[in-house]
Amino acid sequence: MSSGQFTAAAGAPADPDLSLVRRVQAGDREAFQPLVRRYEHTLYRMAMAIMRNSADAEEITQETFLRAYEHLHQFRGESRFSTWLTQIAINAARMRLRKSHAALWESLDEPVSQEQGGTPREAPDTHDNPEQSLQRSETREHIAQALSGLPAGYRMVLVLRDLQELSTQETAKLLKLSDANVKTRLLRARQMLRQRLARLAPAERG
Amino acid sequence: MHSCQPIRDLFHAYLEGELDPAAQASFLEHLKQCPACCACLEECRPASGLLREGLPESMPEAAIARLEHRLSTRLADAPAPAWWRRFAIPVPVWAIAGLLLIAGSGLWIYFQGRSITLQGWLIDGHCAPKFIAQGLSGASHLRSCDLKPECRRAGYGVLAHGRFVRFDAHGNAVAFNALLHTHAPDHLRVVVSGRKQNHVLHVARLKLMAPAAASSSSSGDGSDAMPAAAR
Repeated sequence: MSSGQFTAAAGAPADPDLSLVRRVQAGDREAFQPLVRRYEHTLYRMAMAIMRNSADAEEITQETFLRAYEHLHQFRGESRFSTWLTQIAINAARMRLRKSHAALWESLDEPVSQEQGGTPREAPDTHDNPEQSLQRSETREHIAQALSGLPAGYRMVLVLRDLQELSTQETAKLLKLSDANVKTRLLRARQMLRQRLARLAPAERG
Repeated sequence: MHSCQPIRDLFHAYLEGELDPAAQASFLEHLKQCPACCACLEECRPASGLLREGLPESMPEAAIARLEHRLSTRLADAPAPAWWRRFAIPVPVWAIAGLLLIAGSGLWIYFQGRSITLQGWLIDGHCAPKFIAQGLSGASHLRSCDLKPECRRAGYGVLAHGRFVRFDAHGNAVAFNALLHTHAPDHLRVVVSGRKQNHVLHVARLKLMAPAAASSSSSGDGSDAMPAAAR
């Protein structure tokens, strides 16, 4: 596991977790519990978005906190603690995805092809706003299904940018991509997600 | 589509609020006239709300319980990540380093403290530098000079091959005693053995050889004819 790869931006607000982290580093194990409570839900949700099943998501969350505790002495405070945790979780998820059958047909580092990437594609001729057309009760299932259909490399960019709210630069460093690639994948992933939703919703309603 | 390409290249910058006012005005002007770009832009807007809606809001209670159990078990077993763990090196490395240190110390002690035997001229520390400077062997140094207070205070040693090795306090006492008991006025050849540490010889045995048959043995056991090993 690598750590401490991020550099805090100049003028960035102080990391709210830093005092707890320092206490744990000084040997106060109890101080780790509040950090777990603070991030368990966020990490679980992110893991769910990437792994697409609750068992793997739970495993990733556990693994992330255990690794974080074991390697906390390597955390230098050069990035936010939350970003560091996200990095551990992403690494764990990538390893798990590679080991899984999905890796046989879905590359995490696939280049943005002419067909998939570049500039945003032409929108299909739908006048319905998918976000409005979905029934409330079906929404979660549709979104989860649409998200599952995205290539892992795109899904990770989307999750890091739109769910974890990392910056383009942070996402690029974490996924070892160029900034331009992150931007392209982000727009493409958003498009793909909405287009899949648009296809799912009428079928469900019909 | 081709005419829209430059506009679509600006989608990310527009959504991030990175366009300058002039570029933004031109961008929005295009959107007014281009429903395709409008629809495409809608699809490219942040999906944060969609993701939050589609994903569980929190970790299930049962999963939290399992996480806490696993963490508490591991945290209880694991050593606290104290500051010194930053310098933690696998044990075998420390073990090897320790063995090397012990072996090195042993060799150092062995070579530093091993017994040596020197043969040369008994001379005091006050006069020795003068003899060395003049290239004299020390044979002409007088016993009467050795017994002068200032020479005695300077301590004694052995001069051999242009090098002077000082005696320790015990060696000085033994040498003084030997000088008192010899009748030789000069040519005070001495055979001395002991352990050399920090350029000082810790004398164990000293034998003053008279130019003729007369000799004076101090603390010796009478044995002699040991091979000289001047260093």
